[in-house]
Amino acid sequence: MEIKKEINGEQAVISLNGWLDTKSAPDFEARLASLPVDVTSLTLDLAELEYISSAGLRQVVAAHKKMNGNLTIINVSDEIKELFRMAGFDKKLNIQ
Amino acid sequence: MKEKSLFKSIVGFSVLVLLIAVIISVISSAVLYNETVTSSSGTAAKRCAELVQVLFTFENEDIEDYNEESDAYCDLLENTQYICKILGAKYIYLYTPDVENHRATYLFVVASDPEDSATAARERPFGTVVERDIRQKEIDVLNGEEDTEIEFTNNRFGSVYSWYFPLHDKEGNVVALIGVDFKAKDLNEKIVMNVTRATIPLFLVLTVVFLILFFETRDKIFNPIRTLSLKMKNYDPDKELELDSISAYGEIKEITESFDKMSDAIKKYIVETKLLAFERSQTSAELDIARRIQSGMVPERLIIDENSYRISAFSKAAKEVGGDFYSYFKSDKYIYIVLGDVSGKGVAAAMFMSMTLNIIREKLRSGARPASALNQTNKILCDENPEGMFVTVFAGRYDPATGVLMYANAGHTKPIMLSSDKRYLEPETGIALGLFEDSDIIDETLTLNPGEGILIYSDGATDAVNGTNEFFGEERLLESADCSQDADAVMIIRETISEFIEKQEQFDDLTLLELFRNGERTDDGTFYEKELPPEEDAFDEIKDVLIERLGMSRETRQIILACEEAFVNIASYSGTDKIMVCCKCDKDELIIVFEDNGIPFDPLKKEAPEKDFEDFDKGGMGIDLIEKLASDISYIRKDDKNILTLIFRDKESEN
Repeated sequence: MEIKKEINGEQAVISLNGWLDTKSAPDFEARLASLPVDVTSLTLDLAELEYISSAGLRQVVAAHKKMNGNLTIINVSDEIKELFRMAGFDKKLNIQ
Repeated sequence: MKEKSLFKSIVGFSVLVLLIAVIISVISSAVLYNETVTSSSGTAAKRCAELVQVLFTFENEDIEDYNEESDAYCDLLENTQYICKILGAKYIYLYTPDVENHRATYLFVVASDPEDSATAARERPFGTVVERDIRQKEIDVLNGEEDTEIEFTNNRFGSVYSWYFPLHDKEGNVVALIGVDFKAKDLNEKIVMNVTRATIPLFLVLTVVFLILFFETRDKIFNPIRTLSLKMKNYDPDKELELDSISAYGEIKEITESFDKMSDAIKKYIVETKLLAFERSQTSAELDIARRIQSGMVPERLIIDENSYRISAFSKAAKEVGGDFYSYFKSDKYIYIVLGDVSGKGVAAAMFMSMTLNIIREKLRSGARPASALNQTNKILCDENPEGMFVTVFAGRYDPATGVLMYANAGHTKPIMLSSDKRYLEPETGIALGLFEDSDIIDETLTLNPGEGILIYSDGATDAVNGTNEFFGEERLLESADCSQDADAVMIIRETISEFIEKQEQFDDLTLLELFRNGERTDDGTFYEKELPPEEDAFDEIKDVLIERLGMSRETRQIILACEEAFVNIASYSGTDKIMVCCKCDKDELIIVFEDNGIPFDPLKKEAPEKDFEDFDKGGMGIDLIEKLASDISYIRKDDKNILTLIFRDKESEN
């Protein structure tokens, strides 16, 4: 799992690459926690994300809550999109 | 080194003895004849002297009155000469010794030979005085002692033996000495002649005896022995000897007869040996065929590896053929195993074994249970067993579907239960077949769980003996019986035994057979089965297995996701210390089973109402996802275990 983080003032972009599973979720959680407090808007770039388990999904929800809803998810593959749909995320998240 | 000829040394010895005998005879006869001749010459000399005395007395004239011209002197001289001639003396002489003046005055000297006589008359005429010492001997004779010793003198008159005698006058006074000489040569010749005469017959007799002995021993002892020795030296049982037949007598004849008898016996023996060797080679060829037939019936090595069970067997006879046997065959749904040991070894045991095995197999094939098969076999053996042989047998009928082994024991060795708790089973001992009509062997059963097995063997295993006469024994056998799925107990035991006996020859037939129930294996579709610790990292292994098995695809990732959710769920909430994961493909289905011994938990039972999205960060999505991803999901609680089964079907075939 590779996590890239770009912070631009209040804007932050996190790119996820690989498998976000039970093992790598804590890593993602730590990255989220380390975001500066002045970041109010987060974009998750999932172009390289191959796999996400419920542990990863939980962190997505956590990020959504932390940004007070200002979470945008971009470049989602159909596979991941379907998972989001299964989990009922498609209705709550801003998926582009 | 060549032995010295006994014959030659005996001949040499005999010649030596002959020579010594002749020498001794010559010496002894020479001594004897020397004395005889000496004394006879003494006698003759005395006779001469007596005659001269008689003549002198007859003339009756004083010696002082004698002169050359007197008749008395001439008569005496003449007659003395005649006496000398007659009695063989060389000289007779008359003289008067003068001891004080050291001289002898000769009256006359006569000789038997006329020439000598003439010479003597010339040299020693009447009254010749010879200046010389008068010898003691002469003095002794003068003093009246008798001359007993012959005297040898060598003077210009030749070599002579001399005797001296006194000449008495009428009054008996010694007036002169009479000397009588005998020619030494004559006497010596006489002695030599006598000795020769005495020795030659002896020599001839001895020589004749010796020659007779020589020819006799040569012809009757040495020549036969030499011929016999030559016969022995060139002895060839294949060839008739073309030597002259030996003409022998007595002991030698006995020897030659013994030799002929012995050589006949050897010839006969060789013929018999050849015949025996031929028969043996035939027997060995026949045994070889027998061995091959037997190994067709009882192969030295057998390995049957089926999905649910494994059979491994080994059998080796101590001789070409043996009395140990084993058999394995399938009939209906059962697998039959038989192992037995016939009393004795070799061909008889092999034949009895062959008969026994065939009967047992036939009975089992016709559906008889092991005990019944053995009891029936026993009856037949009892009826057809003139040699009173017997056989111990262990027969079993195994159901691979259930792991149930029904077995019967006819006096055979105790089988070993191959399990984590390996031990000797204690079946009903039963009684060996072929002994008593009422064998009453009974069936017993045991269940082999997966990973368990049973080992049956002949007593050649426990009775194997090493260099220090130690038995391999039951304890070592049990110790070396390995029971794991990957180990072949038969081969391990076999190697352990051969290490144990080292270079000793295998004494008894040795047979081992193992029946092992395999654990659940890949062949029922299982491609992964493992107990994992309830840790996040442990799931990686399942992930890798699934990717390897299914290939990386969207479907695979969904299956992995469902499995991860299930695994993590169990690991996090059940409190179990291990999770048994089993993955198998069955037709179009992928079945993944999770077993744990944690607290009872049915994930399919929805206790709480649906959660809000906002609460999803606390979890709770996992089961949902599984339900959506898996084609089928089921949960049972069994044996204090939670068993969760996920089934995935191909999406297309599902529709």
